[in-house]
Amino acid sequence: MDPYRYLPFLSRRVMQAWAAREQPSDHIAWTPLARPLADCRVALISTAGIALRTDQPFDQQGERDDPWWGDPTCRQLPADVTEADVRFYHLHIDATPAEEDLDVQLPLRRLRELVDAGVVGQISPRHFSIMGYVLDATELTTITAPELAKALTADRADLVLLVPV
Amino acid sequence: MGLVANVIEDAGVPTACLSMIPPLTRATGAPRVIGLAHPMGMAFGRPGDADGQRDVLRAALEAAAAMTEPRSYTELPFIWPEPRSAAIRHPDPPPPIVQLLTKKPWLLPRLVSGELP
Repeated sequence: MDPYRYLPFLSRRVMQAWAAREQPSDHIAWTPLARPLADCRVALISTAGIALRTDQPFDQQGERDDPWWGDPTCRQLPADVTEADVRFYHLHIDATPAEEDLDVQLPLRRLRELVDAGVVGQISPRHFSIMGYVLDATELTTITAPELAKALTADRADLVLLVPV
Repeated sequence: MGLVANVIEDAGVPTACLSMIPPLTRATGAPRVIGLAHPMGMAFGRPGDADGQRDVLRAALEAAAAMTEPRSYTELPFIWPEPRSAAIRHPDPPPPIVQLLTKKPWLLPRLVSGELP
């Protein structure tokens, strides 16, 4: 596959440069799956900047005021959330398709169907969203990611699928 | 995405990253990366296409469960049904960083290098 196929020209050049520069750490993160997929409790994390309408919005104004900054926090989403319950805060994406059908970006109804079909064991009670545009990952990795890890451990998630915006 | 996955994985919860820019996600050393050539904003397919969305989700989860080595990578075989020009949808207004770089293009090297102002 052409891994940059659907990126506009400028984004393609920037992402190529970032990929060439990023060096994985010597530390190898690895936790084997404890059980087969058909017995796994699965959680999703979306990078689309999705928040419940009743929750605190992701800080779009902060990014407008300083375009080098992106909101590094996360939001919780219950397993039965629908497009009517949420707003999309990622300023780099046309959210129209996901506003029409949340499963385009966060396929929780499809995950429920896979549970019903016996492909997946259970759907985790909580799912999460972060904002994909965060150029300085310090707060994301030192504060938000540990919060996510704590919540997913508490929910006894067996497998977490991070899904792109 | 990959950096977050590494932290969660280190805490004892297996992760997989479904990525539409897999070279970048793989460069973080993420444990399981699954490449997908779908347009931004529609990772799992078009609105209302429940069968297509379910196929992508199932393929991603099954690929993740089949991975037995750190830093595994695989690509899903899905082909987007629209030409590239139709599939790329631009947000309106453009993202703040794009608006800034349109006005001040000499700042672009900062974005590329990661040496943020």
